[in-house]
Amino acid sequence: MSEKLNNNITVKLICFIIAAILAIVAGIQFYDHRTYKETVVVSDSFTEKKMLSDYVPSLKNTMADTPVFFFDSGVEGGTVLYLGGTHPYEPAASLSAFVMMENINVEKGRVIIIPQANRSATTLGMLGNAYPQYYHVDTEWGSVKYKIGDRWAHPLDSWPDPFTYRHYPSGLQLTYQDLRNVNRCYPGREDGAPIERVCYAIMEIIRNEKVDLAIDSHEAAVMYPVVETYVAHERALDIAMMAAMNLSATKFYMKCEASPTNLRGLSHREWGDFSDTLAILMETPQPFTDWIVGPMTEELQTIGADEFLGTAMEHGLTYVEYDKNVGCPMKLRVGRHLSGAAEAIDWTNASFPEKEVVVNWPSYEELMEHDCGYFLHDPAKADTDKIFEI
Amino acid sequence: MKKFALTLVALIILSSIPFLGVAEISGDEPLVFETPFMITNAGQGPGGKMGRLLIKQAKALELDKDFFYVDVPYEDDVTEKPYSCIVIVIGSTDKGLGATGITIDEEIDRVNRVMAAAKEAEVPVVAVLLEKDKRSDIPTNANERCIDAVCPGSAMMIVIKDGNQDGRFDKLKEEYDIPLVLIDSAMDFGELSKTMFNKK
Repeated sequence: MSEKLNNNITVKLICFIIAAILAIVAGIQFYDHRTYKETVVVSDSFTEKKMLSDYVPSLKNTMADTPVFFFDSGVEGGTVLYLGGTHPYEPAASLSAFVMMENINVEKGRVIIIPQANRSATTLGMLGNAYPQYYHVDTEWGSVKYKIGDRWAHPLDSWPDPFTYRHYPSGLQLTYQDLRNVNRCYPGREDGAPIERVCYAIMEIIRNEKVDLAIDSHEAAVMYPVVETYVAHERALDIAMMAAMNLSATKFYMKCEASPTNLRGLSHREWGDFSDTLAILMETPQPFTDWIVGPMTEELQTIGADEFLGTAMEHGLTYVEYDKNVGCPMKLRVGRHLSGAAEAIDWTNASFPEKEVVVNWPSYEELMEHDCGYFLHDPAKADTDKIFEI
Repeated sequence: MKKFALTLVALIILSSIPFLGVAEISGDEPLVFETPFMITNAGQGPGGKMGRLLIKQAKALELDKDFFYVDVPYEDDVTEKPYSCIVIVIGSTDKGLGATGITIDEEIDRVNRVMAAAKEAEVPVVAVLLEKDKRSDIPTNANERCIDAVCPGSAMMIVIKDGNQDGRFDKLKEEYDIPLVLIDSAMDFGELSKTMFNKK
């Protein structure tokens, strides 16, 4: 009897030790992801860094607070806002913001860039989806590590979730975790849940900084209909349509959708309804977010070549031209965002000369030729006042 | 020998000059209509608005005088003005149909009624496709159903080349004896509208 008891205790002890080791290993990884900071070397056009908490003070010292970078030419013109990282599991959006920030040259007007709109969501991966925490971009001076985050803010930063999320102010009922989704909480509220406050702060930037054109960058599954698409608020629809048609004729296929009036909480709807800005959302194709893909590796994120999607393509089930041997590499996705944003700015300039913004950054063609790493600068050789850790 | 080669190269270059500015518009000769005309869409996509925008950009026709944009026309709208024709831009929305609570069946029913009213009033319909559809080989695709609802009863089809890669509109042209005008890109539709409405 005593020997049996001893055996039981030994088994339990071994189980406990194994569980503790697993918990420690996982804990280290979680902690690393939670605290890792991405580095950006801003261009000479950089003028000022603010935080979201400058617009909503209650965000100060929270994981939801995130930097807002200003690139002001000093020449009177319009103002453009570019958002990356609304959904950090769509990393080409924030990488496009980083490439933009490192290479932007503003000659007229100003550009405001928020590279990690949902910063809290950059600090974990999607629960239940076993995928890498990071991806790497190769440069001539080494490899740069970036995070692959989640769609929703970290539960530690916004807890507990409600049983049902009721959008403010429409009252529309949405799935509970969307209270942690930046693209479901606009226009937000100053005293709401953390992500509602983030959204309110972004709205305050749009209103207070008099943003003329606001662009929210995203990625979408290749089996999702709204991919390779601009989604535009009705006041921005002409601009987005012209941009889509011109891009389709000259660079890459892009379509345009009108923002539905009864889908609430989204940037392309609420930015336009609750401010004077011209609101546009952009989607690039990202196989990583498709549900039928094979192993969710770093390569799937950075290259996106997947034989299951190739089979889906053969059966006409994808919404983009998909080559399983080529995939949708990061350079293509970042390039699409950069040229997609530039095209929208060009058509805004043509439609509203008084809101003109003259700006340039690497184009789709340049990204396709050189890849992303070519446009990232070595922090070791940069002025310290140009280096930011986010 | 060298002189001959140079002459040959020069001849090749000279003979290719007429094609250098390759026509953005090809296929059948466009039909010509009077003004005013209605422009709208089938499928509740932004195609009608795209068409309106491109015509406006071409700066030859005046909105609400030479042409009228009607977002969601019904039978009665067909004869509300003395339209010379109805330009229907085909394109189902991937975002809005479900979101607005309208089913594709309801939308096809509306389009069928407009087509029937146009036929009865003898107002010709011009079917236009400005966006290619990746899923054009799936018959139940909303876009394909709009094509089936509009094109067979149309007087002319204007289609972006990429949208006819599978020969879908060639078959419609053959089966229903409808002129088919092809444009290289949607941007060419504005220029084509000048020819169609005699505003060159």
